[in-house]
Amino acid sequence: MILLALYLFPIAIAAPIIQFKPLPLEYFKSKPLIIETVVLTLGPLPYPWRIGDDRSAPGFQDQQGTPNDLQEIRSWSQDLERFPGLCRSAQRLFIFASAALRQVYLANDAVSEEQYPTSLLLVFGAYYSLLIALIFAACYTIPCSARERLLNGLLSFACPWQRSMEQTYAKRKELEDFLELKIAPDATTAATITLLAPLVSVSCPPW
Amino acid sequence: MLLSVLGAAAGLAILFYGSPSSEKSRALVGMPEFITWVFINDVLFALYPILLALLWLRFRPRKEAFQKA
Repeated sequence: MILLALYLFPIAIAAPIIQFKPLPLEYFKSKPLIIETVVLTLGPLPYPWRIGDDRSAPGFQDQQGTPNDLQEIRSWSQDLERFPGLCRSAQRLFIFASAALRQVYLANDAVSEEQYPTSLLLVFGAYYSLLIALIFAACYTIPCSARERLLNGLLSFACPWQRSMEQTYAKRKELEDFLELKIAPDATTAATITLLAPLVSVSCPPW
Repeated sequence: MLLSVLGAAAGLAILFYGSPSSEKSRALVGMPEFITWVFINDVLFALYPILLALLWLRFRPRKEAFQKA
């Protein structure tokens, strides 16, 4: 509910700030609002909701570390890391749609350039970049902490003076690689692109 | 695919409900800016059912597996 409120906040405050004149379109007051609410809530919102929902699954907190658990947790976190791509595409299209709606208002003299400058769209994009960053942070920290918990549960560190230290360290490294605990450079690049997507969308509209 | 077509149809139904009934609204609906806006929103309406179905299909069995563990 908090996320929904955060997503709808710019739409709620935009109309009184910008003061649009009526467009010659039937139900013009409700249509853009319905459309923008639907494209916003159905797009990026189910994603953080799914993360929260999976985290609350009772079995998730105390995995036993069987081979099946390892495979499950690995593919689960891979899926989680893949979905921001979809989130990013939806968010970029939403910013494009907002820029297109601005053009409709401008072309019909429903608003002037001074009342609705491009910089407002930039603020809009920056705001959604921040929200994506929050979703992305959750996406990375939840599977990472689950994998670390699993790793420490299965192969806890031996004391440095013990003979088994070297063996444990090698095994931990192998398991770390399998669970993909180290963030690859391409993942960092993907994260940066995701975070900047709304801002880039504002600066390069589709026309 | 069917979900996507249904989503796109729902988007068009919302956008064109009750219009264009006047000369001015007919002119607005024919504007390239309006067509661009409708097109982008309709792409989103077509994509979202697929996104929701993917989320549901990928995460639901996993959640059940975790609950059984």
